Amino acid sequence: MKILVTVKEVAEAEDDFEIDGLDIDERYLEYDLNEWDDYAVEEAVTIAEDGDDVEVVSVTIGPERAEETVRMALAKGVDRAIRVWDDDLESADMLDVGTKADILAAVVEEEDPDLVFSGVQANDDGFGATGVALAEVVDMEWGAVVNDLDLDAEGGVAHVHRELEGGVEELTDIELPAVLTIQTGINEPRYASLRGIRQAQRKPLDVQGLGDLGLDASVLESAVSRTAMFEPESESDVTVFEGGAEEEAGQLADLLRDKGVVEG
Amino acid sequence: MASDNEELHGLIRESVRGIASDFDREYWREHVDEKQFPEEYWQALADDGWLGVAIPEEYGGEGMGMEEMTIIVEELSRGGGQGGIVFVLTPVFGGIGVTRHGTEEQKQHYLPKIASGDMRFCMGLTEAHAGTNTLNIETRAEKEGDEYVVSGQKMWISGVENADTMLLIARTSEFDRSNPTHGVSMFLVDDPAERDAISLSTVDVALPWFEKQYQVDIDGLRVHEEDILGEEDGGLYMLWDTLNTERIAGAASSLGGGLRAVDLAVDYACEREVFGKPIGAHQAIQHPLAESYAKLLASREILYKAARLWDDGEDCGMEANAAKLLTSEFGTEAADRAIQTHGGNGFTREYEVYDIWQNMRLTQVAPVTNQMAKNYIGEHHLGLPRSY
Ligand SMILES: Cc1cc2nc3c(=O)[nH]c(=O)nc-3n(C[C@H](O)[C@H](O)[C@H](O)COP(=O)(O)OP(=O)(O)OC[C@H]3O[C@@H](n4cnc5c(N)ncnc54)[C@H](O)[C@@H]3O)c2cc1C
Repeated sequence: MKILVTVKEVAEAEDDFEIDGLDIDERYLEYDLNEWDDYAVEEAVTIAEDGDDVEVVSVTIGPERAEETVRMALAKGVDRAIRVWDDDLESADMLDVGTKADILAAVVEEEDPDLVFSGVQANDDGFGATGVALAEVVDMEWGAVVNDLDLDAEGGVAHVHRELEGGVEELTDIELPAVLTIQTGINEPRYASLRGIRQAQRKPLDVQGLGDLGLDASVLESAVSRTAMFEPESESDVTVFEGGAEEEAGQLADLLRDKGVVEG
Repeated sequence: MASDNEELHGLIRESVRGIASDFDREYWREHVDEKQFPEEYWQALADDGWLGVAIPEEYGGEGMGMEEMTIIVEELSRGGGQGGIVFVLTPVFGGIGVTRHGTEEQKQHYLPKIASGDMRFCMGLTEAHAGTNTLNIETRAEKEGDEYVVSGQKMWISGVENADTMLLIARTSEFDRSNPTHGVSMFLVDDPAERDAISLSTVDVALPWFEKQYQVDIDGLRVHEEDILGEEDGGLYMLWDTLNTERIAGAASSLGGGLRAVDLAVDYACEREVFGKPIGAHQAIQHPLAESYAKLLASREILYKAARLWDDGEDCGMEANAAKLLTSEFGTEAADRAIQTHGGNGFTREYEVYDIWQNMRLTQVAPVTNQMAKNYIGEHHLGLPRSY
């Protein structure tokens, strides 16, 4: 059995930052593994530890800097990694969901995994769509926002809980091969052990360009473009009520009247 | 290779930081108040291979060196709690001592257990009467058949109650002026707190620390000759040999503690507003912290230089002593400034900085005093006449 885990290095901005053109000024950014992907890696590695003959491969689309993130996944137990990058990707303004899904789909074709785990979303751009879009392109079953997974590898079925709105969960069975987008809290991600870190130095990390995946620069064409980057003005103020319950109720009533929410 | 190492060390830092962050202020306070060994913490470090960092692979360790040890101790100390300095006794004195000087049986017995977290050491060296002048120790070990019979008194010995083994230093031959470091041996004494011939009385030490210090009275303790570490009469040679690793690991813990004090002070100075803006906006608060940070980073350089020299098998006495001296002074100073930054809160237990100051201040005295570090540099590196 093979599990492919998509991982992404995400940018995190400091509390105070400046915007430079269409992006946050690089000086205010730090990079780290996407939080959701940490859970996806843990889920895959746990399955590999509990099962026989499970290979876990991680794939990322990102520059050389992302290798530290990928190595950490290897240190936590991923068997090998693929990093997709080349000059065309480097010069692209933005990679939209469609582009990423197409690139990852080419990797899925090449690797032919039984399961693909992605994070529900990335905490920088937050599209929350790559996993499901990938399933669509490769024509696999999918389950989004999975917060519990019971895998029946022999039966080829994943029994999953999906987190829906309002605290509702959906319990469903998904046939393999499938793409699951993994929600935080599904497990408790480990820290890499020293042995894992040492072994990670010797695990294969293969860099592939678009051409290696049978793609070309046309995959970067996008109907979506970034037109502006700004910090939204805060539109309203916070009012803090103070006093006993009765006083606070009076203050709230006054406010609601002032704002025209209630009459009288 | 350099870049590979950088990546490796980056991953080590990040993972160790993660573990340290799982053990919060509350956890450490509880263990200090109850004087309890932090078992869960120790086990977590063992499980992920951190205690075995410098133990050879064939004995269940990871076979790395002092540079990695230093990173681990620095990050554990910076992450809070007191887990950095405890490395000095077990993975450093015990682990490196047994690795370098142990017999095959001793290595097989002790090293895998150090790596797995099942073996903790304490160090019985200091005596009230001898003090810093180790040559004057009076604890004696007399040979009787294949055993030694040990009697004497040790002072300030930390953590005897938690130790599976005591490294005990005793005189086995008369002091000989022509060969002053000869005549002292190091013994491995298992279950020291349980031995009938050893009685413990606690010393009232006012440090926010989870271990107690003891006066250790030894009367007719029988130790088998196989439990000598290194050569009979060669104990001081053994001690000097591992001393630099102890200085390096101790310095790493002072460095981490000092950086933690700066981290806490910066957080507080950004939050606390008094005259309508954060106190960190005043240079009287900001500059001392910036200066401490600069001093700590500078001392970090010589610390890592010492560690790399040791790993390369080169003399690192100058660098190890300089690192020990500077990190303990800069660390204490940083903690002092962190207290000032916190105002009245600096003296509450909640804000930790006064605890850090007390533990930092100790590192100027123990395991060895800063004067002795200066004596070493003056005499051995600058070639000045011996001052004592
Ligand atoms: C909390 C704590 C834990 C400890 N844990 C242990 C332990 O686990 N095991 C252990 O064996 N020991 C332990 N010690 C003992 C510690 O190592 C000694 O206290 C330390 O080495 C200093 O020895 P001393 O107290 O006898 O000071 P002294 O030797 O009496 O020195 C007093 C002062 O005089 C200075 N001085 C002495 N000679 C000279 C000289 N030639 N030149 C310049 N200055 C000099 C010293 O530097 C020091 O400042 C611990 C001590 C403390 C406080």
